[in-house]
Amino acid sequence: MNQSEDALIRQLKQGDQSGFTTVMEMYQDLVYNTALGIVQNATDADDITQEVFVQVYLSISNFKGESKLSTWLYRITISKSLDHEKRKKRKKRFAFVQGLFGNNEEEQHPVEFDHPGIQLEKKEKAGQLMNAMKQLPEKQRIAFTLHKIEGQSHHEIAAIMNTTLYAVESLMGRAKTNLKKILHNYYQEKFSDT
Amino acid sequence: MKKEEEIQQMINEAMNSLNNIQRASPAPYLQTRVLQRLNKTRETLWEKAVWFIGRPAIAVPAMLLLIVVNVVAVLVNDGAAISAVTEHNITGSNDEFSFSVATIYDIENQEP
Repeated sequence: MNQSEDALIRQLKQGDQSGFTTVMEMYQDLVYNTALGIVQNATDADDITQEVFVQVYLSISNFKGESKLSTWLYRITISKSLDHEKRKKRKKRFAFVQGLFGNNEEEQHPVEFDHPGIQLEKKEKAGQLMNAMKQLPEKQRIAFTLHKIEGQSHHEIAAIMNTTLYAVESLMGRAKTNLKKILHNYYQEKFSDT
Repeated sequence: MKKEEEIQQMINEAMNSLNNIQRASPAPYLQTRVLQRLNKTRETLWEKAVWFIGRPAIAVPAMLLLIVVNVVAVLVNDGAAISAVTEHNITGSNDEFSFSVATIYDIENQEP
């Protein structure tokens, strides 16, 4: 941890408003982009970003400084994003049960996600990859998202996920294999339809 | 065969589609929204605390405990006050009636 980060954390721990504003300015894109990669919905990612910073403000006293501030922020963001997804799935299940009893007021259709940071010519393919990513097991999805969307190295991912470098490499390998399988099935179906 | 090759190419294109992705930014005025939410959370925490204390399961035992503590305090203080008064009375009686036993030795060695 460098000196300026150390001073910033001290400011935060003292409840200094300007320190908190600086942290938000520095890390808002990191938090938002990570949340967006996981939940694949701009409104939800914005909501999660707010939750993350509220959590940072309330629990900065628990931050021991053993890792970098960004690593801690990544951990909170991932945890909040996964919680958000679980809540959403529960709501969907509840809506489904309500639908069985004829109480379904509004049916929501999944929309293909369009990440604002992707080049125009790659948008279609990226949308298909992002859809495939949704089907990956949780840990593989997190490792792949951190690497591909946030551009984190395997070392940094290991620190964020609190695991070994070997485990991250293994997760990435399995994620790529699974994604290729999912995409293969998707394109095969697409070809057979046309 | 050609179909499989095309599929493989599409897979490769999809797998590489996230290369050089730009970081997305949140909607404007994030800080204002966070501070607003933070204030709301603080209010909610107080509301939660009041609700927790106000629950009958907490409020009734707390009231009983308060009453018991008060009763015990009154009884303990009352006992201490009585014993202090008694002690004072005994000392007073001793002084008044001179209950101490005087011996010949005491009388002979009295100082002028």
